[in-house]
Amino acid sequence: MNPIFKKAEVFLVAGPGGVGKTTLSAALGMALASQGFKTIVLTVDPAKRLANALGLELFDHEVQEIPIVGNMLLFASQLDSQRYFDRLIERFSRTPQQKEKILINPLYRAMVDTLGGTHEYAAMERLLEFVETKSYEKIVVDTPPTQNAVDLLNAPERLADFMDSSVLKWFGGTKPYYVSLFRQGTRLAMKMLRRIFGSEFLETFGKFLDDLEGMHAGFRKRNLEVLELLRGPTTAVLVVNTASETRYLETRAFLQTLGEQRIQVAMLILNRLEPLVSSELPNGFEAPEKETAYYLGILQHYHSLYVVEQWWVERFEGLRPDLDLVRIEQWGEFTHPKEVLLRLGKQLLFFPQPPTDC
Amino acid sequence: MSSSRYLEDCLSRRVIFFAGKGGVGKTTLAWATAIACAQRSKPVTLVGLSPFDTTKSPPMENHPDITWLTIEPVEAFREYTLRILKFDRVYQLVFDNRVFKTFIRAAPGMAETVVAGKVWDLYARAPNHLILVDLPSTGHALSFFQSPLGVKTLFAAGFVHKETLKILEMFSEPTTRIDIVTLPEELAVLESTQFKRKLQSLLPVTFGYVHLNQTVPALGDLNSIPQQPALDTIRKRYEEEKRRDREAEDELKALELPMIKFPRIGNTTWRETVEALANQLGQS
Repeated sequence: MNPIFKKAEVFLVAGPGGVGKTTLSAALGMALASQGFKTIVLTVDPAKRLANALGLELFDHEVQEIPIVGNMLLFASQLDSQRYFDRLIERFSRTPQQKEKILINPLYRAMVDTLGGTHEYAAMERLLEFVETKSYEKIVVDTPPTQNAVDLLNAPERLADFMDSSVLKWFGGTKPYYVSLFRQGTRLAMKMLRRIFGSEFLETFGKFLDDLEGMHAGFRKRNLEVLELLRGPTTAVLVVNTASETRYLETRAFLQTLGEQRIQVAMLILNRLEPLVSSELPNGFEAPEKETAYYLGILQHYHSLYVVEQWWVERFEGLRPDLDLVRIEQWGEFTHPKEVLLRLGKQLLFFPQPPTDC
Repeated sequence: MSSSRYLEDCLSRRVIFFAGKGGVGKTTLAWATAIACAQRSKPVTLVGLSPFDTTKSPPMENHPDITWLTIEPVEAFREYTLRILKFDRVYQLVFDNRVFKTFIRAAPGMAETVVAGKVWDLYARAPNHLILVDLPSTGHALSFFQSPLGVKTLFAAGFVHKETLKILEMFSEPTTRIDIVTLPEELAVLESTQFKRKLQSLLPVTFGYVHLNQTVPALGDLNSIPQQPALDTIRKRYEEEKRRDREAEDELKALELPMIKFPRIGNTTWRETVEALANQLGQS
């Protein structure tokens, strides 16, 4: 088995949407479970993709058991990030009254929907929970399909920023002692804001921020714990992508950001690759002109796709020659029977050796 | 509207939104359309919406006839506030960016509304320009159209309220068109039909074209050609992809919109792909 998979406990499958992360997460989970590890796959993705990839309609329970091979089980969990955020508020509230006030505030509900990063934040928080309870030997995290993969890492930080008490003081609202801390300019600025947004909103907003007071420290502390986990030796980050110019540029930027955050990447995976196709007809091929033209056309089309892609695969290889680069060829179907998934997972697990069937 | 009059229709519009799931090729199509229109001497402004559109550098940035810009909510909000309130220097310093960020993040729908507001601003200031908007992926795109509705209610008075009315009016103008970009893949097609249905139930908007991207090129009719064992795999693949494309086309008929198909071509760079698509559109 590749030492990456032996050593690490948490596998973060990162990358943009549409590259096959969910399928690969399911595949990796199955392969690990087949080797006897108690494994769980986590997803925040509200679409049913993970369930579908594992051959289910949807998940019935918070933690679902999926039989794979023999007596082996794979566990899977799909996070309802909206409800999950409520639990976070609960955790960081200083009093039950504070919690209630926040949860019933209409701004809170709207905020969770639009804040951006709440899915990602909930995913990281959930991961921490699983790690802390030590119930599983291996955890595979199918990260949310954020357009910008960097959002995943920024999310906890952004949230903590939002809760930053020094900013909240700005919107002192009903608390007179806040206002007295600031210059006349603040009062005037608030008056201006009232003109733009209307008094009613500003009051509701001020109250809401009052209610959030004190939670920021809790969020920030948790953020640091997430970063520590991601930076530590028990986490392996697997970056998945397809081979094209835009994906190459994205990956390069993402790797740089990870480097700046001191998070190491364990493996690069190029998915959905074109298989090798020759542009020439096979030896001994003989046929009427029309037929020859037909087959040549098809060969040349697929050959050109292969050639272009290989050019970018080489660029990817040059990105981080120190890392394992796994190439996975395009599968014909979009839903994969379990056997196919298992084989795919083993391709990762035993890289660079071809997997033996067992 | 018909597929062969795509370019003509584009030139008669003031705003075109490109909507679709992440990764289907919206940005590519938006750029191809921009180039095809610019080639007909139409001044074009192409708008990308940050933070969703920051993952790649824009290789077409310096095209002479196209203005390209990215709208970022916090900056747009700051610009807007400072302009409306006519703050002088002192107050500019008083409002630091973190305060704006807090508002944008907490006030529901604020970020999207501010961005739409900036689009409206461009729209009002340059009536002879064609504005092409590269929307974020479907879920976010719906919020983009929906947010002014919520904001209008939430902020029942004041400047923001008035702005949302103007924005909603722009969305519903007959010179505004919403195109859907999709791939011949089940999830993408499903999201397209759901998106149209949902948006139609919210606002009286005009939908334009469906762009079916990455189809397999027409390479010949299979039926009359006998099998060749050595070429079985490749033939099977071709047939499978054609079948998949046909299925997607059938599903997309439910949208009741004219469709344009874009074949998958082997180009090394994104720029080459955009130019090839622009050529295809230019000949329409």
